[in-house]
Amino acid sequence: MLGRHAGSGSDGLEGQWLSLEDLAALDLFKSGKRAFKVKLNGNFAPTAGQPEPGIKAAVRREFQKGDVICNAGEYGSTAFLILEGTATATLPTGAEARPIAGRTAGSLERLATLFRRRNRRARRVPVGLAELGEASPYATLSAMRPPAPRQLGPGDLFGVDACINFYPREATVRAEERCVVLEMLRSVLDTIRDAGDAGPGIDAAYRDAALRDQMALTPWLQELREDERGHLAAGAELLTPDADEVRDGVIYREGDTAEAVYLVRAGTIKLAQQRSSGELVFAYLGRGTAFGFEPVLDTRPPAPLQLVCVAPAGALPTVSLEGVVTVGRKADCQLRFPSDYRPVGRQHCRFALRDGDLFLTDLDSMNGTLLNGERVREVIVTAGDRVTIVDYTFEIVRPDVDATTSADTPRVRVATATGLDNFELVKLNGRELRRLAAGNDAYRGALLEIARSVGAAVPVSADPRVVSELIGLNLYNSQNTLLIDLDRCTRCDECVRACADAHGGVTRFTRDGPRFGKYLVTLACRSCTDPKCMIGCPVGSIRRDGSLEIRIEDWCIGCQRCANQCPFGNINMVELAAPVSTEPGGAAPLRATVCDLCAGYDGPSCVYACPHDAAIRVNPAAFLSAEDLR
Amino acid sequence: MLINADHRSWLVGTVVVGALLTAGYVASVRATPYGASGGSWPGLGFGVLGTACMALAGLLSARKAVRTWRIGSAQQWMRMHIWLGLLAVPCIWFHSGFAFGGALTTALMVLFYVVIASGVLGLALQQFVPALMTRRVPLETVLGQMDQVIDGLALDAYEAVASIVGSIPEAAAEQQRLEAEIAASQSGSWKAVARQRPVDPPLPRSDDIKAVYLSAVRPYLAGAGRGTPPDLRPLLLASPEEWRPKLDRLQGICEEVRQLTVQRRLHAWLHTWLFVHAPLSLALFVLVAVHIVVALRY
Repeated sequence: MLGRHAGSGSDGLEGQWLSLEDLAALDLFKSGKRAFKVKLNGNFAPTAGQPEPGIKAAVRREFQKGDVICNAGEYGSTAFLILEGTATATLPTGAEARPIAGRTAGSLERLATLFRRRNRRARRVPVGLAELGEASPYATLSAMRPPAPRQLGPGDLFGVDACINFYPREATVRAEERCVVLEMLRSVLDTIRDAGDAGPGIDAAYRDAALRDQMALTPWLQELREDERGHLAAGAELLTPDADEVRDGVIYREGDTAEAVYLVRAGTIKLAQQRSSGELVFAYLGRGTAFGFEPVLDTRPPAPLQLVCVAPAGALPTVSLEGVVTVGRKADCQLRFPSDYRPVGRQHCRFALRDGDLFLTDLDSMNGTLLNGERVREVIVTAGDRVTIVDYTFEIVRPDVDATTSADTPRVRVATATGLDNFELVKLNGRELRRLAAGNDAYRGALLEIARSVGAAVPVSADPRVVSELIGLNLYNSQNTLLIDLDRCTRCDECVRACADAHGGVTRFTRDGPRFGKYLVTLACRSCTDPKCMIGCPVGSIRRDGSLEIRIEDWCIGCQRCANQCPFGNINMVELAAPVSTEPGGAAPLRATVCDLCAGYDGPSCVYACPHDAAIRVNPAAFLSAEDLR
Repeated sequence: MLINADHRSWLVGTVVVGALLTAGYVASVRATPYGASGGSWPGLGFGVLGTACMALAGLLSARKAVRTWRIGSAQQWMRMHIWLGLLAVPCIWFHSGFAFGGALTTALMVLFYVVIASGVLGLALQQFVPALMTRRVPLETVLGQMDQVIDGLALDAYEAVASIVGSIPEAAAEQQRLEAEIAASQSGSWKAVARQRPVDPPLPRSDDIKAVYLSAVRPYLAGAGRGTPPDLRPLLLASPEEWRPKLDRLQGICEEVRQLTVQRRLHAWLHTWLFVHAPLSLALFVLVAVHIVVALRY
């Protein structure tokens, strides 16, 4: 008999509590290391002087046939071990997989609970039925053609990904028959990974599953046959910031030899080039994207642009626009008009390459230089532009090079890729990808399409100031931030009071912080995609449970680790009014508090109580624009 | 800015209803030989409508007492407060027939106008002052914490100066607080802030800094930013390069305190009118109740 205590509450996970003896009987919890026992004893054993249980960090749960054990798209912070029975894991298709961005209730339910004090523990909203708040760029991955459901049996561990990375769960797991599982908090899983005998096995299984699932969920790999994907997976690696080849978060640098293509499983990756004017950020890539396509594209230095005379066609020779090219009647001009053709100046205009850009400058000519029909003084020109000089029209062209069929020469990186947080990447062999593309037209097409979309390097925002501000304020990985429009806010503090009212008199945020233009970025939890606060809680009391908000459970021991790890100071330690310790003279016990997006209420109270429409909760990267900086 | 495009439907509704009421009033004036009065059926109707508008508008304060209740967002209640409050004006005009009447009704009308005028003033202030504060006070802080923030800045200033000129006996209070904070940081308290000890002995040629601190900076900070902030540029130019960061910080502290003074003033503009508007609104409701009783009884 494993379980002794049924029930739920504030002492841990819902389910039957497992004692240390119960856990020790499981293969997963075998270890010869003393540290393993010390950690388990220290954190999860019954509290001294109190009847068991202590913190329910690992519980036994039972599911009947057809029951959903966990849903794709839900945020979760627990992993599961199947003890008895079988289950199937299904990757979602299309719209089934969406993150729940906040708690919402139907209008009837809203009416019914109008004046009722809400439960702190909110109901779970089924995935797919939930109304969505902000669409997250970090949405759960989904596959148009998902692979066959995976069978899970006794001894199989699942949910490790969400438990470690805090991203929404990738698969829906459903019991195939009566199924008994052990659900555990990250703190338990970390203890096993660090010191348990099963640790290396868990990590290896995690790596294999991560590679397999990520490749299955990557649309442009679907054109490959199963055996081709398997072959590709065999040579793939899982890359994290701890890897030797990653230095200070830099995955590769501009100019490096390009040998791999990367799939982003977790984290935020910045792609940027160094220009004389500073760093030019091309893109911030999140979960589900891919980058580093240089191995499959031709990244040899591009052929220089050419100036081709199109009207009258071929009347003047084609000129390569390298260095400085002067156009005119003078003898030393690189593109020379007939010397007796007086409407064109002796030195009429000039093309010059500066910092990678091609400038066209009119040299005070009498009849002017037209770019696409408009008279110009100095402009940057590019392929496709038409330049008119009196009666002559030229087109700027770049000789085309077929990407994947070009010679098998070493490719170079055109940008630097840097991980901005705790990323996890699948590193694919670029040479292998290129070989597969050579013999599969459909795959080659899909590959080129995705590669060119990244290669086109369209910046996330049209205005680099916005990008730089978002980075400066660390808002790029924020999913839900409380902003206050200071042009509307009368500083009445109704938002703060509403927050305090909703949380037993203690506010969970401070109406202060940095500014993005007219918006105040408040000191409130930002629902990071990479919540550092959730790493290393010794008792697993800080977690996500089904949706976006971060919760600190009642069994918090006040160690302050989460508060110290939050880079934005958005977790506050509060002194408990009623001491739980009976030791005389002891300091007041602390408890960590964080904005929980008013879980249990219909939306955040701060926003609801603002009479001036000033408080908003948004995804800042999607919401803020250059307009706000004016 | 309080009034924006979101208010369009309320604005249109108020104008339409106001126009209908005006038409009704004109029609009732034409239909009766002596014009509409408060005692006539149309006049009574206008009075009831005006009172209802005022009562609904007044519910905003009740709504604010139950912030977590989901009974419509505070924005919706605020819009209702503004536009129904304004709609009450023609209703009461038509009810009274533009007359002040006896002593009670005159007092009522005067109170009504003061309440409306203070509300419109508040609306105008809340329309423009927030943006002004955003522009003029980039280093804004929470008003309730302003005194603590200024105290903290005063200590920061002393810490910066003492790290050049050493302990300053004339600023014994600051020295005492600095020592207390250093002791707290060594105790490992989670609330502690790391502080730098005063330099000992004082750095050479630092007398000017001490003098400026005691004569200008300290009094300015002690007065919570009243008066003109001290200009430390001459001191900056005359000081060695390595002192610059600390002197810059000192200048920054003075600027921050100046901004906080501006914030305090603008905050007063934003909220002081409420001390007229809210209690007089309450008094208005009392007088309206008396007026109803008197009118019905006599």
